[in-house]
Amino acid sequence: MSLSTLIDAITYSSLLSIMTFGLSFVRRTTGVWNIAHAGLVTIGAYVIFTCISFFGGNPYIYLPLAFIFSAVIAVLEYMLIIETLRKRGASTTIMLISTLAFDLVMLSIINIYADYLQNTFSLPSKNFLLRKLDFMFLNMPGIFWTSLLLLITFLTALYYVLNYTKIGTALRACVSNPTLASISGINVMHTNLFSWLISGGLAGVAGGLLPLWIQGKPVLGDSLIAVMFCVSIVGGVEEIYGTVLGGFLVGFTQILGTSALSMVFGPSVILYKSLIPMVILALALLYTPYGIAKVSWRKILTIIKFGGESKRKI
Amino acid sequence: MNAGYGKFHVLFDVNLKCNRSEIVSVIGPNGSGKTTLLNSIFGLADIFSGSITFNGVRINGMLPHEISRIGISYLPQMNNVFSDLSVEENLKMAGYILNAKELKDAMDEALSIFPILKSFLSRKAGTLSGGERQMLAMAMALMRKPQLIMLDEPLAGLAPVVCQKVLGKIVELRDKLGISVILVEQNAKKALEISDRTYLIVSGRNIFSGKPDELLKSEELIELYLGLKGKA
Repeated sequence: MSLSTLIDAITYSSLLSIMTFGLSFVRRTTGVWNIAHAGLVTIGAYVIFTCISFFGGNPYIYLPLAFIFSAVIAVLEYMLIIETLRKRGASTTIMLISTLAFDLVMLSIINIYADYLQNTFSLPSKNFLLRKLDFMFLNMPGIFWTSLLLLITFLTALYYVLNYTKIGTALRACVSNPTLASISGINVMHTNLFSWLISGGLAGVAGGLLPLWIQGKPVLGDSLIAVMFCVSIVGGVEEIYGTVLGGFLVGFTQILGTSALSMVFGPSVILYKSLIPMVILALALLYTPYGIAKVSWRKILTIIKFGGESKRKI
Repeated sequence: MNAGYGKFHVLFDVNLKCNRSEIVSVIGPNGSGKTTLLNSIFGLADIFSGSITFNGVRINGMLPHEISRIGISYLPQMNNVFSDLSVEENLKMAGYILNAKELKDAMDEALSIFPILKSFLSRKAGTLSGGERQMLAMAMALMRKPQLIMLDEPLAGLAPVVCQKVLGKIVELRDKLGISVILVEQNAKKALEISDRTYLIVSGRNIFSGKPDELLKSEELIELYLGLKGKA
């Protein structure tokens, strides 16, 4: 395994974790699988592309803008669609379908915007890669350092907020028992809004970083949504930090697995690399349906140590 | 009041009044609408007609988190603690609307009433026994210094010794803190022992309201609906 493959695996896993966190988080807080999360990722990429195209400079300085844009759209989605449907007694399935519809609307708008940029300003808005704008540090690309540092910083901040602040504990209370939280005087809608804001913002940031590593295009987020679902389910939706475990498992397996398989079967294997997360998802659903974060590693160690107990449920 | 959930009508012209520093029990068979009555008061059910007033203020249509801020606490029968949070965090969340000083004072007071909780403040609420959990839930209900506490079957699933303790605490709330209590209870005999007044609800309708002694005199009612014949 070469160093560049390892760097790619860490970068991809970190970006996947940041990107998917929001998907799992809003699923936990509001019970909704937000398919439009894909669109929020793409919006982040286009915010960075637009800023770079018109104002120039370093892509990283525009990340806060990507956060704000996607966060605002996520909040609007929650307020206008999810909360409205909830008040009308809609089921989570209806809400899921409504997020798909919202994603398609966003996809259309992004396509129109990309066409506008291409036709009016002759910008390569349908396919763009910003790698040449990235910096190098210790012979490694800036996207590697940024994505990893961002993930570590985010996890540390999240741990602090959830465990040592009033809003964080309230958020955990709402996840644990929304009715009781409401009875206790907590405005559950406010905490839900907070979770959608953070989730949308992080999707935007991850989307803003993606063109520094892979090609940006109007279907950028949508091309990754299946992998995001895979990460979320493999990691375990019920565990807040499960997304990171899932992100690194899927990311590493996809990058290293493809690399290893291409050495055996030739480079054509790369075309089928998106199958790897689906295989992991199938295995996860069969053996750890609640995600790897819920796996009792102690039991597994016991089974390995003593054997003969392989039928015990993990 | 007429109330229910969506198109499902549960309560029909139910009337209930609770005075200051009074324990009012609501009893009746399973599925008679007792919990729906409490849910309606707390904004968790749909009110089709009628009104609910607290201290002269109409509270129909208010959201649960708004109702909890005007001096009413509700202790639901099921899921009445945050299982994933520690006991201390549960108490803090129950006092979410209080400032730091008020929160500390309220916690000290709640822990003085339920001293048993002091020994497992850092334990997750999900690991507590039924009795301990009920004590925590009651302590949580007290955190906001309410004028009215609504308890939904606080004795359900508790051992007889623990039941007596919980009943003792309910009486303490009225006598020492001057709190009004609406007690919904399946265990009619226990509820009537400590009530000042009682309501019997059957199939979503008021069948009786008055003093517990008066209800116990009506052999027909207690035999038909409460199964207490000969035990009263």
